Amino acid sequence: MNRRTIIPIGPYHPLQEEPELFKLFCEGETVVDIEFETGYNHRGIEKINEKKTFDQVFFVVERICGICSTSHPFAYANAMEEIAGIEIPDRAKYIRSIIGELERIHSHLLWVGLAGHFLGYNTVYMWSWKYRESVLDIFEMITGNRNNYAMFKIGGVRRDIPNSMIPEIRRMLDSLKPKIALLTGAVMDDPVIHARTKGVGILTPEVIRKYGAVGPTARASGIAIDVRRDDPYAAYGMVNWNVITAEEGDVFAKAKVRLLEMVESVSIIEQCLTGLEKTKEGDTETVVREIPPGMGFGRAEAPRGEVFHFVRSDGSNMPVRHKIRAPSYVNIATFKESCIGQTVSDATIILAAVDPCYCCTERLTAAYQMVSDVRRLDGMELIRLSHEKTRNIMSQLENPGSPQKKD
Amino acid sequence: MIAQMEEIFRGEFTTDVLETTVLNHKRMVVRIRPAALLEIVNFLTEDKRYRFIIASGISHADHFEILYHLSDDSTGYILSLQVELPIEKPEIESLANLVPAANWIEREIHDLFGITFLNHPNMVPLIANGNWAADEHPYATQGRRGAVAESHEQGSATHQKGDSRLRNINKDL
Repeated sequence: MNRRTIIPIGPYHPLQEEPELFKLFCEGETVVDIEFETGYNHRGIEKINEKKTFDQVFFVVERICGICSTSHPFAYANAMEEIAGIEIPDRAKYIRSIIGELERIHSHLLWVGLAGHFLGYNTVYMWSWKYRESVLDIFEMITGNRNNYAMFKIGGVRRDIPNSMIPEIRRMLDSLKPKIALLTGAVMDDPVIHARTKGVGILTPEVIRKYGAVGPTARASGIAIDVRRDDPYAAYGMVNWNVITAEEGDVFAKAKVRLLEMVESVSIIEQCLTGLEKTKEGDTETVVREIPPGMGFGRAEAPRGEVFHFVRSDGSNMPVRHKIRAPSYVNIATFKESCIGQTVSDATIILAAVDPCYCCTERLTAAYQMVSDVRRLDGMELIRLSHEKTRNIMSQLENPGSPQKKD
Repeated sequence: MIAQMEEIFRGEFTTDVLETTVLNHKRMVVRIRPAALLEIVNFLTEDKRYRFIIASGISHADHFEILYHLSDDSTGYILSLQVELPIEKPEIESLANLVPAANWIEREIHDLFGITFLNHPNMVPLIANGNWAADEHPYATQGRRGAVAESHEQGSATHQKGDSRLRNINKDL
């Protein structure tokens, strides 16, 4: 079979929040190669930050990602505090971890919903997005915003969580627990989800090491790396929790890791709330007068994996260089290994499994034969082909003996 | 402590390691000879099981610098290998054949700084992909002030370049 079809996903796709182009090269239903193009919307944030003061950079990096908007300020704050060589108060550490873990819960709920949507299982999608709202409500109560919380600053946090608010947060978390359990049960026991995700898009530990993949993508392949444990920051060294791993490396394992991580996150938040009650209200900041010359390497475990910020300062009030590495940068590269040999309908969920947060349906706009005969299929053409196929099948059903008509 | 790592380093690569700076108990910067990069990265990733995080380029007044950041996940150390490259001929051996994780970032550094990576398996633009001229490297700042101002004046011409990329995609498909 030498007829190859290119299925482009992007660069501007209605369900994709960022412009990027995946070209799936298919033979029949099977993906035989994949190409990735990015850079359509390079915002030059690293360069912009060289003209911002250290405090202003927070507001820029908070807007790198719309979903996990705290992970970048988190890593940047860690980098800056490393340069300044300061330790922040315990209360600020607890508040940072609470924000980080709430964000993990809402981001994972968002992913579970999208994954259900890609599989055509919209009940899961509706449920998990509904439950995600209650997490955003907690955010609104603590920070005043549903997203882009502006909580972090060098040396601590901008707003305190008053102790009088803690019982209400606990109550909201308690109401969230049965919902997470319900959703976990619904996904883990569902035969349809098993059929669609088990054994699909397997990433072996060797592939993960080869591409340096991080976060749930790596943990679902049995590689137990988690910055929160390996290089503890904020309050993660002061609370008890487990790194969730799975061995299979398929899409189902990634879903399992994310669902179980939410339970751990709730437990971390509860311990942090207990920690808050033990510390003094209002003690949320170590005052930083100036940033000395030096280099800082900040890491934070975002919902998608390790975020890495490298900041170099020369003693002025602006960074000389600020390098940012988001987890998707390394995770997306694994597509080359996980998609090839799979079918088109599975490729969409495999691409989604590392959580680059974009959606794609089988949108076929162009096809060509390998013998340089380029043929373009538009919407009308696709409808015509579909009608033809239906007629073909119907005539087959009416006259079972007749030979199948070639399309 | 990462100081032990420093001793191992000095013992294994006496002539290739030019300078080691321990920043704190988990961070170390090691300045090395560019020619020894592959050997040292191989030692770290294969023998010591370090994970390649990312590389970052920096443009100084009189030279380029690349930092290769590697992480040891069992201890939380970050070790950065620092190489300095001359402005006249900024080129270095590519890591991508040894560490596939370095594939994209080397293409990105090439786009932004104009540093050449020798023997890279797929040196096509990653983010510059037709958005600006092939010989324009926006993060390489040395002596380019005039060039930047000029390209701003020709704003409309730059936009045309961007459009040509979309045209290319249509042609491709």
